[in-house]
Amino acid sequence: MKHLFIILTLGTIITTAMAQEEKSPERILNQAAEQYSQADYERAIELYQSLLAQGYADPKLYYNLGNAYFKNGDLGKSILFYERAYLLQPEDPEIAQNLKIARARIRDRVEPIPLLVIVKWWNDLKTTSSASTLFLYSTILAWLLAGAIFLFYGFRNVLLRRVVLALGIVLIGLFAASVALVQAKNESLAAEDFGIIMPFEVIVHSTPDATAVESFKIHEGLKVEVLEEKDGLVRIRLADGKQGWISANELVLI
Amino acid sequence: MVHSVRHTAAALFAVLFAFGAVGMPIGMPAQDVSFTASVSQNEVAEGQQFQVTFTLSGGSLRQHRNFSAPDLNQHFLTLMGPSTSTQMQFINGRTSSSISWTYVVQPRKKGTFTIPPATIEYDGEQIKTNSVQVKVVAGSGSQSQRGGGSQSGEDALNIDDDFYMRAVADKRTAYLGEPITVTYKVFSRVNFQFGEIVKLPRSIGFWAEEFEIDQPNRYPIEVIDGKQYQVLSIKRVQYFPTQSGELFIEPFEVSSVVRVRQKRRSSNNQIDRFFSDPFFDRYQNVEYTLRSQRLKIDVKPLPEAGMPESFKGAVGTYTMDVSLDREDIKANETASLKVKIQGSGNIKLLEGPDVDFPTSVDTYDPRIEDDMRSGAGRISGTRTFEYIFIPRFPGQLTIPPVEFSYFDYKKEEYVELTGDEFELDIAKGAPRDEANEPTQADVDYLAMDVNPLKQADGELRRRGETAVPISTMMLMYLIPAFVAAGGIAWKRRYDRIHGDAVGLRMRRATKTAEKHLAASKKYLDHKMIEKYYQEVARALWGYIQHKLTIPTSETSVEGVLAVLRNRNISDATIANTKEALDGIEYARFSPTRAEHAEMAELYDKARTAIVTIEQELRA
Repeated sequence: MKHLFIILTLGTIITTAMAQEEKSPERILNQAAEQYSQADYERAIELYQSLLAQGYADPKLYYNLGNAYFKNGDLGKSILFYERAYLLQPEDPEIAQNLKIARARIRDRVEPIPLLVIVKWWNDLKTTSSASTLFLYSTILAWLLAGAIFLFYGFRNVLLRRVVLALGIVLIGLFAASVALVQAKNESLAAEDFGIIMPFEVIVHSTPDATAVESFKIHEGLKVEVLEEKDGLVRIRLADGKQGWISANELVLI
Repeated sequence: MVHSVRHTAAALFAVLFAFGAVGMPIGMPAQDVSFTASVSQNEVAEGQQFQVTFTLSGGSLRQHRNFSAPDLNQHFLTLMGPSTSTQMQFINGRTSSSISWTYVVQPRKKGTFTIPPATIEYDGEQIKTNSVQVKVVAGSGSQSQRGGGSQSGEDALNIDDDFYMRAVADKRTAYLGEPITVTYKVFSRVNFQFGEIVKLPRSIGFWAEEFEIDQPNRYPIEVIDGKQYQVLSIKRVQYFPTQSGELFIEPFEVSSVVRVRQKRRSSNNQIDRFFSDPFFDRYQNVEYTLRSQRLKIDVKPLPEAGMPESFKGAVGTYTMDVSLDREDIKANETASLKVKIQGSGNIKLLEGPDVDFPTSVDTYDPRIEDDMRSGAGRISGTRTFEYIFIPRFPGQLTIPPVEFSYFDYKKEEYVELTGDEFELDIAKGAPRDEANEPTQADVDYLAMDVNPLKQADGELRRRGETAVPISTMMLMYLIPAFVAAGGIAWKRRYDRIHGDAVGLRMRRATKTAEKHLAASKKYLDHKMIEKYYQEVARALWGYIQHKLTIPTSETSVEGVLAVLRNRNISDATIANTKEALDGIEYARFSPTRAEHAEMAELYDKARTAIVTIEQELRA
């Protein structure tokens, strides 16, 4: 019985391994690139989507899919996938540039409201650095802090201890901030509160009820912050602070 | 048996002796050591290089030191040296060896010059060479005329005839904007290698464009004045004059390494003759800087006559193609007009032609895209100007023909090109949305195409692998914490074992003093006078020295009191301490005379001193 079980398990492992051999992600990516170069973007999109369905979430994949959607004239989806790629790897110049190229085609021009300097720094650090970069910063700070603690408790020289104490307090603050930043980045990777508008034009209502008054219009590809959800409706906020309700199926969360 | 051993030993001695005999002339200070100076030619032409050699021969080569050459640079220019060479000869069973120092020099001027003697220390004695006379006669003059480029003072190696660079221009007069092709050619009759190819110097009034040159496997041979030269074209540059007048193309420099043969003195010596076979010739690598000559170019201004209105400085030959990105344009939509200019000339300096869009159309600055090729001795390519525009009203829209003109320098006339006229029927579009109009920055992105796909290299990340896991974070933060804790523990242990003896003694000074006082009290009660004084002295002196960290070598009472004064101890306490210390000093020299009462008094004084100092130091 036990032997049979082992054989069965081995068998499954081998067959799944073979199945994966046949459709390795590299091969699918190459196939998709082939289709893309022949301007068959629909087919390329299908292939990339099949990889997504397998559970892959690589910035390269998102980027290539964004390109295919862009070439296929699907601005909303291309921005969605460029945004997803950018979230994972903001340091990549090609991703950042393609996102800008696609964004330039959005019909809406939204002027962001100025934020507090400290909030702006926080947001900029979070959006323009990848999780691993932020984690590297926090690890460096952890080592510096450990060094300061060693100097403080290991030596009796008064002047040295005073300097190290002051430095240590600053380091504790920076370290705590960096850990919080890594956590915030992790959270935004798990579930981003932002979505991309998919239909060509969306009317934003001032209230969630049926008799709501039309407030303003937004267009395909625009990035909006999702504040709350109620009965298939979501309250959104634009970068310039304007708020309103739209149908939840009119946007896709990043 | 013994006999044979003796034989062997004898044979061994004989061999050793034989070696010794041969070795002796080398090891012994020889009588016939000579130190001579010679030149390869006693009469040289001006600018001609020759060798000066100082030779030490005979004797051991190991016994000389401090060779010092005369100042050759007074009359000559030292090009190389000293290069040393050693020789060993066996003639008629005798060994002789020699060492020589050779300089390659060049005369600075005509005349007769004396090379002063060189000196050397041999076996502790200083010996001198003879002095040599050299007569410098007028040169043939051919040497320095050829190379206007590389003949510059110190760096002249006198191979200018065999190795030089020329800048060859295809023309010396040109119109403003007309390309001048300059080829930098190296003519060589020597073995050489290029060092660093220096960047082209900036020539004022020119825009320079470099060509790639395919280097052939074998360099072509040219014959100049009956001599064969290898010719290398190392660089080809097109210069476009941007201003008229008399302009100069600055010299181009390349450093190189030349392999030159080092001549040997001719000699009757057999071995020398054998080695003077070309196979054994010595070569030396010498750095040499090639420098092309400065070129003067006369740049004529473009003729005023017949200059079209649309002329913006284009020189060369061009064609133009004007196109719209699409015909069905709606109002308030962006569209683009492309003006493609193809040809050769100063294409990289071209300005976009003016397009007279009707006033009902919003326009942006053109975006410029280049596609250049350099080949067949000229620069050609395409420069595309993309004009983004937004028609504001539906209806008929006419874009007048685009005009572009250039100066054809071969025909010396202006040529005007005219594009097509566009008649557009603008459909009704979405209403104008002022707030959402693209900015100039957006326009740049609008005209751009997306970057290409990324290649599949390495593993693809899966969902859930994108964030930094909590466990990793914890681990990476705990490691430094543990390292710090370990470091502190180690440091404290280290201090306990090795360090801070002074601080420790300071903290323990009071305890130690109490211990000694208690002991002295015991000796006082038992009337053990000597031991008693010893303990009191240890108590007070030890306390003061350790507490105030006074070195034990400091034993004067005054010195100790001075330190106490510095530490703001009150006068009363100092006075008391002084009495106690004096008492101890006194008793040390005549211990037996002391009375019990006196001794008890000293004990009290010492105790009070310690207690009060302790109190006052803490205050």
